[in-house]
Amino acid sequence: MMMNKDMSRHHQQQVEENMSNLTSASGDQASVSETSGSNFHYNVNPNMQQEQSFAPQSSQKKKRNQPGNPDPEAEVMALSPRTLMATNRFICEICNKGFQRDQNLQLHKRGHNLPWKLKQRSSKDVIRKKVYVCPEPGCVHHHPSRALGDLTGIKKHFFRKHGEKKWKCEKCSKKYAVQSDWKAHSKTCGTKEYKCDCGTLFSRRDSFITHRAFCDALAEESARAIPNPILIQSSSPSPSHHHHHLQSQQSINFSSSSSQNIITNNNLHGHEFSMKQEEPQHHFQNIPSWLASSNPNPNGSSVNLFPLASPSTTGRSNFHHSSPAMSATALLQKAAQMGPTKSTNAPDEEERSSSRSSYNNLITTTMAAMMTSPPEPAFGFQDYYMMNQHHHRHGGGEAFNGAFVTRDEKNDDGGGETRDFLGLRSLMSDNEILSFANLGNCINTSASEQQHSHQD
Amino acid sequence: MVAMFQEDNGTSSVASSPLQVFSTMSLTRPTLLASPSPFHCLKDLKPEERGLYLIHLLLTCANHVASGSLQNANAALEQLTHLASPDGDTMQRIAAYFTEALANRILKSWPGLYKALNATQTRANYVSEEIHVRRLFFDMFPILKVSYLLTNRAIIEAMEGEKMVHVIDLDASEPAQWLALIQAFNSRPEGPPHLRITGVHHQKEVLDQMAHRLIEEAEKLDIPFQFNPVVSRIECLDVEQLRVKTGEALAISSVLQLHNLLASDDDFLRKNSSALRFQNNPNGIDLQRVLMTSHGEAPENDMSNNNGRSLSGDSASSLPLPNSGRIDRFLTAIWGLSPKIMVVTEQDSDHNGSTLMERLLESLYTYAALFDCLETKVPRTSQDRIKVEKMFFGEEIKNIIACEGSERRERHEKLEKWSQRIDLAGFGNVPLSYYAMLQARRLLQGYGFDGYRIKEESGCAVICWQDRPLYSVSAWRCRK
Repeated sequence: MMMNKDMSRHHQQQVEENMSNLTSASGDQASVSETSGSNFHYNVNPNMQQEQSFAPQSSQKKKRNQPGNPDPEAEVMALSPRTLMATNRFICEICNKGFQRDQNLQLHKRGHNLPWKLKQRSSKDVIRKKVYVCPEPGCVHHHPSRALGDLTGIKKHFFRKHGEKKWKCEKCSKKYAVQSDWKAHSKTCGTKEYKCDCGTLFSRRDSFITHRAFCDALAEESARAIPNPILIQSSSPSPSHHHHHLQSQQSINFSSSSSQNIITNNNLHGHEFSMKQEEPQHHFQNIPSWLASSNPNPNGSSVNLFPLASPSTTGRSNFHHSSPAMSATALLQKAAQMGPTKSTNAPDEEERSSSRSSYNNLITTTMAAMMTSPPEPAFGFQDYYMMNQHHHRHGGGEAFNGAFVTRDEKNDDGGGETRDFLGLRSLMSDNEILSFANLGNCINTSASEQQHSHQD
Repeated sequence: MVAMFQEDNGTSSVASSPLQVFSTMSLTRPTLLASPSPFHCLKDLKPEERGLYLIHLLLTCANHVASGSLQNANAALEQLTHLASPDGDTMQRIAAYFTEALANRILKSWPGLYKALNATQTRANYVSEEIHVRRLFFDMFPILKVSYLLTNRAIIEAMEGEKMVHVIDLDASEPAQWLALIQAFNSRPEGPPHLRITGVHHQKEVLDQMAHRLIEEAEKLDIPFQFNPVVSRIECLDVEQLRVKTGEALAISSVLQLHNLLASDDDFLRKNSSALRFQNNPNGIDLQRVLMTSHGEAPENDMSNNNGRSLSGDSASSLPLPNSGRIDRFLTAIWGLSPKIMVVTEQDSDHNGSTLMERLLESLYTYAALFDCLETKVPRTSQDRIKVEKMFFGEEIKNIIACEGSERRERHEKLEKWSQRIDLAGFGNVPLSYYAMLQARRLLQGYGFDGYRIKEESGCAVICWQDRPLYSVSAWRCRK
């Protein structure tokens, strides 16, 4: 009795060890080890692990292949989606009970007290290791060189990638295709949360730390305080002498200081980010290449890739304009605002009227000089454009061959009122002003009508 | 009507601004047309007033040009040349280039005259100037740097685990981009792949230089590397020339190139309407075929009537895409190569309106933003700045305003339209990763490119100056 118990415990351990080699998620082990703990009557027998071939005296753990590099000798199994999705693939011949896993079936069958011979699988032929490919044609794992070594693994992969997400977390409504994923998530959902100053929430400490180090909000603050690439170092315990050194060289030797800066950075962030595949590090190696100057740079040999402009054109030096000129964008916006509809704002009007009056006086003389008069002054603007509407043809793309302007000169407008090039006296119609106010939407029907009417 | 002008105080909505005033003004005598005296007063204008007046003049002139009133256009140009100047403030500079473009537009009606005036530029001179100016644009603006950064990041991420990588650069003019990629591949944990870069450019000198720099770097790092030059403009490019082999993972980088392909369509559609019927589109979204099957007749009739517009109108897409011949064929051909990743950088502005006024209005805003940026970063006296303004932006402006048909290559469109087109061709969007965006933002901050922002829009990055979107970078994969 005692012997049996010892054996059973020992076997249980071994079974569990072996199970850990076979199954990929921890959740599954629970069911297996439970059943293995229940009664069984035969000796330690490695045959129950049919999916792997390893030496019978396997107290050592089987060596796992690297993920993504399957054993080249292994037999490739291509299961159909139906098979993969089938829940009870393994059927007991005796009682027709279905099981999700072969091991479970085997364990169940022991309960039937079969004679010895029938219990054994034919272990005469070498059992080749099997690897599985995903049936989905577009999938990475469809190709045998990227096959997965484990049936449960391929099943989970298939569900995760190509399956429907049937399981939903109640708290955060995140959806999962595999039940064990869902269970694992719901255990931790909402338990731990980190919040960055910028408002982003993280459930993982490592991603929180990474984010916080580079958070834009922090960066902007630092940028405002110190306008210099040092902002990268703002959150890290860098040696202060670098800081001073860089600042003193700020306006002049931008490039060499920054490349020093980045070298420090690489060291810092190398150990700060243990989580991912060193991605952060060679991120930064991209940045130094941008910063190095094309001028002889004592620091950067490998970083001389994206040269800065020569100092004369970087514009970081201060130069003075004679007066604070309005930017062109602001001018355009102002012009657009000075449209027909603005008659409301009293304070604005004062400004505008004062500038306008001097402006207007100027305009009367100059514009009068510029424009020629129409034959009929009484002709209203809208009427003018309306007249052309029945000449409007939807020409689709433009039919310009470079000679369009000459065609325009010919007056194909039989009306004769305004199309004469000496006769056009209106500069911009109400429609155009409105569309000017809507710059960017280009609802400039009148102008387009004009143009279309001259085509073909 | 003149009286109406004088009682201008914002009481009536009609006469509340100088611009509006002009439109309702009926003008008096043409006698002073030739007299220079009114123009003296113009010099006394304050910069802001001058700027506003310039805007007004530009719109006026464009209006006249569009309607064919050459005399008025001429008068407007005369005024413009007095006020605008490539050495002046931002608005003056912009006005200078737009004025030139409008003048060119008029001049094109005499093709001989136009060509004669532009005939004395030698090719060698032109090429070296072009190269220099491209380099200036790269240096003075963060746009290309950000684009290369995001492109490389997307490529690295897509090529994780790949042993054979083939990158096609549709505008191979800047070695810096690929030097960085080579370095990045070199430092990846699984080691560098066998890398092959195919560079497409219309200038052989540029490709030679690029080959030299890249091969040198690869040899230094001992990476298996090959550079294949393809001397061609993108319009004439045949995907066969790219020599994509099976078994290699393909990445495509297109920086400010695709919009050129929107240009050939006007002429092409009209001439070859029947040929377009037999376009091969494995995705099944073949607009011509849809027309054929649904109407049971040749689509020529529809096409010649609507110049291609009805093609997309009948398809499943929600927005009609004009001129969808050449670009769709190109995208489909690229799709046929099954690229793992394609990164597209394009201008994010609508400069492809069918009328002059539309284009003028939109481009005024865009180039105002770009010139403003230069104004804040670079002194007015800088020759490099003037060069970039004249030879880089000035040429774009000239093309947008003065040219039509297949000559007008600078057909910039909004990101939304590009996304739709690329999606229709069978690509799925690959959102740019968090790290990529982070790096891009830090690049902007680190360089002191204040005023620039990177917005994220459905997984794509949009580089804006203040609030004006200027350029977009998006990544795509082949969706089968």
